[in-house]
Amino acid sequence: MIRLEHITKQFNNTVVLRDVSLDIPEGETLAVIGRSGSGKSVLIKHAVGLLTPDEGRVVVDGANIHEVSYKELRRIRRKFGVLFQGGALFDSMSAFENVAFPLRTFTGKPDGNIRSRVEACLEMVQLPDIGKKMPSELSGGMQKRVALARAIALEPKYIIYDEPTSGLDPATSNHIDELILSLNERLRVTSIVITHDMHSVLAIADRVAFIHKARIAWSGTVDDIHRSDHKSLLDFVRANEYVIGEQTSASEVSLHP
Amino acid sequence: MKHSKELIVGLSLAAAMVVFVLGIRFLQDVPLFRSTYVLHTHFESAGGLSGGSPIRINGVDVGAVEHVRLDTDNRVSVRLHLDDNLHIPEGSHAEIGGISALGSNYVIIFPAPQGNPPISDGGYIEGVSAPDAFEAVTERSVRLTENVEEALANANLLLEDTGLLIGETGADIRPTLRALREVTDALAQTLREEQESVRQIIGNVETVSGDLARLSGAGTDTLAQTLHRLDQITVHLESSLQMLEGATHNLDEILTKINNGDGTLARLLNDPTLYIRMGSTLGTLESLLQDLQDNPRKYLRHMDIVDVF
Amino acid sequence: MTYSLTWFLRPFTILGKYSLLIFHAFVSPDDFRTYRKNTFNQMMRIGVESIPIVALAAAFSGAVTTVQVSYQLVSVFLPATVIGSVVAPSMILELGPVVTGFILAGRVGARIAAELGTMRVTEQIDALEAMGLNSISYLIAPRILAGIIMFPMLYVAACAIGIGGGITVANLGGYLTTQEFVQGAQDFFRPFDPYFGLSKAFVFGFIITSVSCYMGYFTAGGAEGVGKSTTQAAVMSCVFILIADLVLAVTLL
Ligand SMILES: Nc1ncnc2c1ncn2[C@@H]1O[C@H](COP(=O)(O)OP(=O)(O)OP(=O)(O)O)[C@@H](O)[C@H]1O
Ligand SMILES: [Mg+2]
Repeated sequence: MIRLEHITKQFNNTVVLRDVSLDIPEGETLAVIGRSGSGKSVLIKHAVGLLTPDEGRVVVDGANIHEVSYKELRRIRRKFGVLFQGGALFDSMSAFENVAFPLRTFTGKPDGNIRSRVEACLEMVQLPDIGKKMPSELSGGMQKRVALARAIALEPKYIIYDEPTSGLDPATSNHIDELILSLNERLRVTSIVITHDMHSVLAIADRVAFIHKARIAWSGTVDDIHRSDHKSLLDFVRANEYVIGEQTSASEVSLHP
Repeated sequence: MKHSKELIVGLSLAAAMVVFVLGIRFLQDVPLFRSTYVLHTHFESAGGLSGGSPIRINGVDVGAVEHVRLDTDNRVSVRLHLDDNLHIPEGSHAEIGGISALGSNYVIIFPAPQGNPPISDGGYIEGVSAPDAFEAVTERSVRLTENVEEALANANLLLEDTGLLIGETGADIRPTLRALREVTDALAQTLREEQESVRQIIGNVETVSGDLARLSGAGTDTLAQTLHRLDQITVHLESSLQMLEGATHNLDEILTKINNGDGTLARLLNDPTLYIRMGSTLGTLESLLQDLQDNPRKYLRHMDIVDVF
Repeated sequence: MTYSLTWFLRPFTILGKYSLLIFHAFVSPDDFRTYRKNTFNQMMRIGVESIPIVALAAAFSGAVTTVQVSYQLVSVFLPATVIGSVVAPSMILELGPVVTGFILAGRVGARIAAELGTMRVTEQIDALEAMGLNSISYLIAPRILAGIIMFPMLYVAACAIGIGGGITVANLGGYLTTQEFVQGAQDFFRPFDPYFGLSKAFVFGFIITSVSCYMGYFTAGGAEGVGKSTTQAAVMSCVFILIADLVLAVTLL
């Protein structure tokens, strides 16, 4: 159970989040959508305590993560798997070592077990043979998927995905969506997914939060979206749906203001 | 191969440690690997001796001082590291040589006849405290200054008496003149001698400055003290010479009186030796003065080299 | 008013931030296995891999000092051994630690700052934190440890090689023989000197690694920020080495 209560955050006098509250119950998947620069990444960084809110608090499993000791905070963070928007792979380590890193650090498992787990994870993101490669030798999409493999390696209770499918081709995107979905169903993972891709939202999310103008402008179930009359939300969703629905209209969208 | 990184790091650290320890031993002039022949000794005063100071027998380096410590009874305990193949016979003794003011001290071992049984490793050798060479030089120069002063004071007294005698009418001038000549002779003699002594002092000081040149930063304050002392001596000598000058001036005045005096005294003028003596005395005085004034400056200038360190 | 006050208090803020960073690096660590491995990695990079450049710099500084001392101290009053008496202590007391420090401020300091800075701007540090690791101790403790362990090693190497360089040039240039050089070095050798030099190296190792870690860890502003931190790390390391050099000389000598 992750609760964000009345989070307000500003950078250099620009308010990025204003009084944002979110509840993510156990086993649920929340999709966070919003225009670029609306504060989605900032929001999820608050959830794991990488950023401290100016006001408000974050409660994970009943503990206010800004009040507990640093040691306790780290214990709480170990329940999380975080996929950063840029991947954030350790560039001094090979892909294999990146995925193995949390396993080696936090489990006392023998090398053999770790190896098979790493291979399984890389398999899940459809990158079975790139273990030896360094991050700089991988494409952006591949890096993102290795980072995803690293985030799920420990089978965490909470997973935060910051744009897991951006930069991927549609087929791989679908595969990643399926992977997220299967993790949710198989392991009852509680997750937050940031995405611009309405297709993904529809496929994996239970609920959706739309961030607009530093606030949660709209939130509800996936089915509620179409019944909503929130203009900015509908603009956002429709811009997306043209691309998904009719491939032909993609160019028309960009022509019409 | 898995531990190769650890191995390389470990090896380089171990190598550094070995180089460090051996390097110190090497620079201390202690044999690198061989064990050494260790002796203890006691001195009344360390006289600037320190860890690393060399040990010599007949001028040959045979080891180094390991450390110098103050005992509870304020005596100086010194530990000597000597070459392993050396055997110092019982009854030998050690002295401190060199110039403490300059920090270039060493231990001299005066071995007893080889017939005596050798002192065992870790044993005791008697330490004899001899006066420091430099202190001796200073002492002697002070003594010399005192001599000059005494001679000059005597001369002054006699010259005054002479003036007195000459001033008295009807007194027999002959013995006075004889005395005056004797004094002048003595004065000239003293000056010749003392000039030699002063030269010697300066010579000594120059040798010392040779030693000084080899000095590193050590003992800078003792050096300053020494320089101060030398300076005082120079000032002393200078004032003594001023007295001498005063005396000659007196003499000059007397001569003027004689010059303007009666016929009996006019005969004095016929004694050219007196004139010559007096002239040469004055010349000597002047050149001595010059020498003294110049030389200390000269050697002090050479000492500036020491500042380089 | 408030602006000038903040400006005045800024150095203290930085000092506090720096001290806390180092404090956090050594308290509440996570897992010693990872640290051990990292520390050895850093020891390789900071220490062993720096040996060639340090050796080169030391050899040349030893050689140049020898030539210049011979040039400066040419005098009838001075025996040739005086060159050894000057070069060896200079190397042990000052040139060894400071040359090593300057070279490594560039080589190691810049590298640490660039590494950590890049990790910061590419969110790798956030990734470590999000995993539940103490990123400060994970990244900084091994580097500082490696610095204070390996710098004294490099210092010893620098002294040995520097004096070796001096002797080589003394022979090749015909200034004095090996025996004279060694004699001079031994005559005025004080056993305290190498320990003093070693303490300097220890302090410089700490300064370079900790200052560079600070610069790198708190990098902001993308690639440009990384560039800035890198330069700052090298420059500030040098500045603090000079300050520490003076402070140590005044307090310990
Ligand atoms: N560390 C920071 N310092 C200053 N401003 C920041 C910082 N991080 C984020 N911001 C600002 O906060 C706003 C929200 O950034 P955020 O990264 O959350 O956007 P986003 O919604 O994730 O966008 P995108 O979809 O493009 O990733 C941006 O305007 C950004 O300039
Ligand atoms: Mg973002």
